[in-house]
Amino acid sequence: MRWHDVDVIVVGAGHAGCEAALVCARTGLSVWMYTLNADSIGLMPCNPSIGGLGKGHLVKEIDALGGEMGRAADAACIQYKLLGTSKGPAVQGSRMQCDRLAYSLAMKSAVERESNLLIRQEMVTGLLLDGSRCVGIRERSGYDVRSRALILATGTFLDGVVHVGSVSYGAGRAGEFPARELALQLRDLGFPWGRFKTGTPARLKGSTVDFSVMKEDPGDEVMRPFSLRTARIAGPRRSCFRTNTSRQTHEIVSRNLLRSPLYSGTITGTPARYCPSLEDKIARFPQRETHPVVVEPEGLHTSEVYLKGLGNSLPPEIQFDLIRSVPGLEEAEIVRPAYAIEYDFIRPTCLKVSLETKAYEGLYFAGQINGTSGYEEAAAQGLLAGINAVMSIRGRDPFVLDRSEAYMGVMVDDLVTRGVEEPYRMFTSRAEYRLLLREDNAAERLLAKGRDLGLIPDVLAQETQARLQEVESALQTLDRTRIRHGEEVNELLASRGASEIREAMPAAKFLKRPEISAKDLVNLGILPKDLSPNAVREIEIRVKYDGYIERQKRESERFRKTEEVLIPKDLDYDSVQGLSRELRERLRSISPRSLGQASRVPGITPAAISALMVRLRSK
Amino acid sequence: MKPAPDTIVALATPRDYSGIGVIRLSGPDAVSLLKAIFHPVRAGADFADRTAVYGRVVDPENGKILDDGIAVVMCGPRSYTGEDVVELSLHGSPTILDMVLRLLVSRGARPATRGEFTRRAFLSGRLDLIQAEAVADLIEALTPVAVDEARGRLDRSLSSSILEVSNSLKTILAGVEAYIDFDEDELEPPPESVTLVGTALEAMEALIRAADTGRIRREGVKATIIGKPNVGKSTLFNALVQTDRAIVTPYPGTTRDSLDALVVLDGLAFALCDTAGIREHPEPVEAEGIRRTLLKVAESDIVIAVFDGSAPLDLEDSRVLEACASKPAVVVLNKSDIGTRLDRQSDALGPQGRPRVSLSAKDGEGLDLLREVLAEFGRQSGEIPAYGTSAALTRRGVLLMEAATVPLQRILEVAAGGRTVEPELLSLELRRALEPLEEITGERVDEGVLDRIFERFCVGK
Repeated sequence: MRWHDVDVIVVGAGHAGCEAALVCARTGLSVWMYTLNADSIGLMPCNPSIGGLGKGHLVKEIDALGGEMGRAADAACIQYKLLGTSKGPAVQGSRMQCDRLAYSLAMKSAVERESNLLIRQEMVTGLLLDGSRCVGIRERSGYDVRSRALILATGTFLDGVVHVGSVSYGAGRAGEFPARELALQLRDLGFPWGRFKTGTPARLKGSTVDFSVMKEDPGDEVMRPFSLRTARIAGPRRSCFRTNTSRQTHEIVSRNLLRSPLYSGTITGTPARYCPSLEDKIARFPQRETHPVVVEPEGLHTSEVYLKGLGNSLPPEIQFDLIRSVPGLEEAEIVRPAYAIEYDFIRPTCLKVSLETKAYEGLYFAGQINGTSGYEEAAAQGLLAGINAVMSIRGRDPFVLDRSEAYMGVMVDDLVTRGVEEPYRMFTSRAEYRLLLREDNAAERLLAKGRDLGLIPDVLAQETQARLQEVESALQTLDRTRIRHGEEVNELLASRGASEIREAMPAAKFLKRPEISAKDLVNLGILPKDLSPNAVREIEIRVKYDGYIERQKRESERFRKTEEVLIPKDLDYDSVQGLSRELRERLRSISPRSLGQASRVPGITPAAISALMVRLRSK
Repeated sequence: MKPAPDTIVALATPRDYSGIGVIRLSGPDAVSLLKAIFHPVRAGADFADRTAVYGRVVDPENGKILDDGIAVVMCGPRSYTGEDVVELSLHGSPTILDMVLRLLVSRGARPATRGEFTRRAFLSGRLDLIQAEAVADLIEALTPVAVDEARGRLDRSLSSSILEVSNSLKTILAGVEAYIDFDEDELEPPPESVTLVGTALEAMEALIRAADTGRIRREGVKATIIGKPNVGKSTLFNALVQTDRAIVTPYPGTTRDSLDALVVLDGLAFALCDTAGIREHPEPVEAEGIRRTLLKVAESDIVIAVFDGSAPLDLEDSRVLEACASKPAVVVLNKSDIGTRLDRQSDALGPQGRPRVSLSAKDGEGLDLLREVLAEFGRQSGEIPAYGTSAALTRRGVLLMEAATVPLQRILEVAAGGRTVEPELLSLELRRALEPLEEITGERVDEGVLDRIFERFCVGK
């Protein structure tokens, strides 16, 4: 083995960087994690919350594979809410409001607990390359550090430019240096790159906000931890407050649209359509008279509040006016103005499913550099890139999750197969087997893999296994036990406005009635009282949606069959008949590892797939 | 072994003595193969895209001239198959054509399999699956109306109706998914999803209904002749077909299995079927024949119920009337040459609305009237349906379309029960409905299905 200083270098200490560094250190590798500021590790530069629809799923999956995000969020949780309860069983996602500082400290101390992980505050200005291998980095000081694997998790720092009104300046985040040299080197190396735009709303001084005219949202009574390792969440709680933009707000924004760099032509980076700035909302939906605004607490020990829904890049004096036009914010003072930021991302189709670049061995990209947005998306990629760096150093096959196993698998497959045209966010609709990929069964899906990777301690695996067993035996109980048509049951039904039952029936069938919940069966003494809320939820979903789940299982098995048809790396696409030149070119550049992945390459028709299938079969 | 994209060759015209015969080549080497064996008469002529070139076919081995004719090169991807295509028109001699084919095969062309040209057209995206099926139907069309119907599908009129339906489902799905994935404070739940599903379902059911008229235009009206033994069913069948295909004897029960023949009346095909007689106490073999007769009646478009007009109705005749009670039928009173004991207006002959024809199958008297009655029925059933497309789903399309309606009906059932359809399940059912729709056009397809479809083709298409 060639000489090196450390096993793994991670550039960036945000959500992707921390997970990547931790997973490498925890498997015994030596790690240096670079940051420009050792005080902003695991920072939440946008809204102070973790999770949400699709995103809560990711946090649970990260946790089941031994990642840190869920545990840090639990430690910093000041409010919990289960979203999407009326939308269906699988889309329900947990969201936590977090104390921003507490989250950052929880992450920093997790990182510091690892004896072979070093936090290094320095700017990385270049990659060291040896042929088609990446062998380390150069610090700004000119000091070279050599490594066996390098993970870039640079967030919005690559040639980052902050915009407020007509003023723009280079910055990785407001008040931090951008990473310009590294960005230029990546462009020079021929990595396909683009510019994306994102932004964050203003933070206000809490004591200048009139909460009394807003609608308080204290969150759910029951707080469910993200992590299997968190027993319960006990800390103090904080509420969010809802208000709305006024007609005046819309007038102010419309009048000053051209003073926004978004509309004056200064910003050319692509924003996410699903997360429009206030300027975009008002310009694109002029018929809407009002947009919701949520005032979210930034933490327990600060009065600062975050203004969800008011992200913009207008000049400070206009921000001042528009914020004060919102009911409850008439006297508000701005601590940190809103801003937009443009940055380089590298088109993720240049990556393998392991998140290693196709061009340079040992070089991995994770997080916003791959064109994603969101803390959870970043953390999931950091974890996977870290795991795969470990696998590669240990000489093992890459760790790949498929689309029927995890949202993480869906995301990585989307990124490396389809690429991104706007910042990529996890949506539940991106998953074909949504009913199988639920928050409540994340551990069931992934914990064994986490244990096999050495990331989940045996004790935890056994404990969780026992809890999963509880669910299985509860399901058996429901099949075996019959509900008698007694007074107690019929009174319950009557109180729900439902028709009585006239004869005994299996408890499972009874639970399938829309007006009955699994809790009722706990109350009737059929299910044990000590089941965890997560177990109750899983039981209910598995009984009520039994038919649908079974069907998706069958479909996912069929899906896995085409995933298992591997395409040889050296396949000559010119030898596939019935493919146009354009499709050949596209397949060559993506070089899908399986027939299934090939079928998801944009523009590839089923006809092209059958042509490919014929070619593979003729081997 | 190098399974490179190969070049296929086949005779595109029937292998028979004819004015000209056309050899067709498709694939990357089509043009170079042509150049190797075909010498333009005008010196220096090149094979420009879509230009006819006169020349001679020469065996490069010995310089012998095999034939002379016209070659046209059609460069991909704008050709029928999407690849380079060559059509070589030579003298229509099977001997010459075989020699030239052998020459091309010896130089690396591969004899095409059934429908392989059209299969390549589908694989390269030049045709969708509906159009590919239409090509086969166009070639096999029996009547001008069948040509029209196939033409309509080839011109994408059916594909676009299906696309319209699947686009409307996709729009509903997009609304549902947006609602699922965004915070509730940003978007309202999609309120009319269920109503919109109902509208899409109606359009799909209309397409299924229209498929029947399409089948009639394509395959002909299914007309089944039934009657008690020895009323002259087979004589009538032969008279209509104008052959002696059905064996006619004076003994009752001669036809034990059914016989089919195609006749064209007024430009519309009729698939005529002669059946075993229906009788009261049949022997076992006959009983099986009768069972089959009843099955035939069930799947026919019209029944020709034959009675002996020279004798009074009996119990067996009333069995015949029962058998066709729920079907459109023509009542035929046969044996007018012997006499008329039966009143044509009699209520005993079933509903008065049915056409009644007295005739003699033996003499041919009154047969023209029956032909006219049948033709009129055909004209009405083959009429263009209200949905506005002259092209209609094939049998494969109907099965898939029916499969697509099932999940939508489930949505409407839950909604009809007064319960809200959870958006997630709504989405699941919509996706399930979209899959078979995509199979109809071939956006989603499996190999086995393709094999079955292209099996129908002749070689050279």
